[in-house]
Amino acid sequence: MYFQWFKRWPSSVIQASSFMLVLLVGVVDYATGIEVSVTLFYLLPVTLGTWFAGRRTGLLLACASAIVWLVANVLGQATIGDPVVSIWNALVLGLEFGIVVWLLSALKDQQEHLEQTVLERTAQLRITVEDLEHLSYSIIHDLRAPLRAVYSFATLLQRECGNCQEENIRDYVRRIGTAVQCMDHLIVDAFDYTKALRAELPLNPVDPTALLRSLLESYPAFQPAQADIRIAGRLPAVLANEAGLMQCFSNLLNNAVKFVAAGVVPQVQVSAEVRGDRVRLWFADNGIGIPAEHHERIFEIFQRLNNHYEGTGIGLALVRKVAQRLGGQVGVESEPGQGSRFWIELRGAECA
Amino acid sequence: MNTATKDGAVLFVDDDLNDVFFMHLGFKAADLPQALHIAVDGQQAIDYLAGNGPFADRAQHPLPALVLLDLHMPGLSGFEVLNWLRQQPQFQSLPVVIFTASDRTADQQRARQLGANDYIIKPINLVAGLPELLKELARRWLCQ
Repeated sequence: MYFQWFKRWPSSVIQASSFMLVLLVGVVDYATGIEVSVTLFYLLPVTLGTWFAGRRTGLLLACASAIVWLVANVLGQATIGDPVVSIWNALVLGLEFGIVVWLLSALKDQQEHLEQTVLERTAQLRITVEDLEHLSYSIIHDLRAPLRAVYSFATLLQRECGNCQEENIRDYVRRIGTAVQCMDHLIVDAFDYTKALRAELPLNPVDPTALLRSLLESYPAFQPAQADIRIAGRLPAVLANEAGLMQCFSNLLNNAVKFVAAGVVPQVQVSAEVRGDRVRLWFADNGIGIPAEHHERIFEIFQRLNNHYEGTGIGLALVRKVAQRLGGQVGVESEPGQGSRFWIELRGAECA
Repeated sequence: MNTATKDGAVLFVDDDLNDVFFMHLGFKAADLPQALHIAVDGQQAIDYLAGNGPFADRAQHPLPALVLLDLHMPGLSGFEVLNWLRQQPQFQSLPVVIFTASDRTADQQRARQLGANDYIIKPINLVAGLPELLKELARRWLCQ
């Protein structure tokens, strides 16, 4: 923390204050007399100068410290004889400081080199990510163009075959259409998933009720004629990202209305449970349910349990990924034939 | 200004020949009075609008009252065509509707910034939905 503070000082200020400190220690050294050793305190300006103003300053400070020490001692000790001993001691002291300077500046060089490397690598990675992003967009674009042609021509064929007697030909054409739609969903979902991996999801307080209401209004499959979806009571605000949470909700609701037994009107109840500082949103349905051994697997990508229902096996993986990126969790409680209770747990956005 | 634009020809710029085929089909199905003209890449679109070379014959190649523009094309992209177009004084108010497979927000923003009037994402089925879409576009951009 203090390091950051020093970093902002210009190098000339660091140099000046380090030399001043050396002098100050010298004065204290002289004043305390030769019985009290303060040599260690010269290290303070020496390290400070080395780290923040460079090796040259450090070496100069080491020399200055040795000289100041010598002067303080020569002035302070009238009694002890040979001045050669004092000069020798000053030399050793200067050398010691020099070694410290050398070690410290080597460390500093290393650190700067590392920082530089990290910066370079990060820049390279950013370029790679941008390239990949561009590539995935291009792939989507280029994959969908022939798909559009196949689907459109199949529809055309279907129309022209409308009167044709060959029942099997009409069936083949219908199957082409279904397969193409399936592939298109797969492309779009896989792309959404990769987007969820890297999209920035800034956290804000989000009102789940408003989000759910707008979803229920915009999708025919969620409207009263097709499904009975209720929001139980007031759902507390959560800390999330609106776009991300919208993706989670729409996938959970889609699953809830999709996986019902034939002829059953889907019923979904959304409710909230406050758990400390977190909020768990429950999506309870009257669907076909999920055996306990699959409760983990369904959240993995491309895992599908049932061939009777259309799907790409990406939806729940996407929900889990987004929830994780929002600092949340997902899970399910379910038994076959008993419906499922999916939950998504996020940080609450309201003070208790 | 130009008699040729009276019926409101539509210029469709797209490098995908299947899409061009379905656009012809959709135009016929929508039963629009306007004539459909095609440019198969960005450079051809600019040549058409500028009346370069064979496009100088405005009886054959009338100036359009609406441009349907694909974005991602080899050579000059739709963005570059749009940019060029908005720099020409005579095309500043010509309605340009982007018709692309790209749903990138970045593309939508850039197209709007360059002066596109509308942005439509190509439906995956160009037979089923296209006639309705074209009728709607004609109502919005070609009303006399």
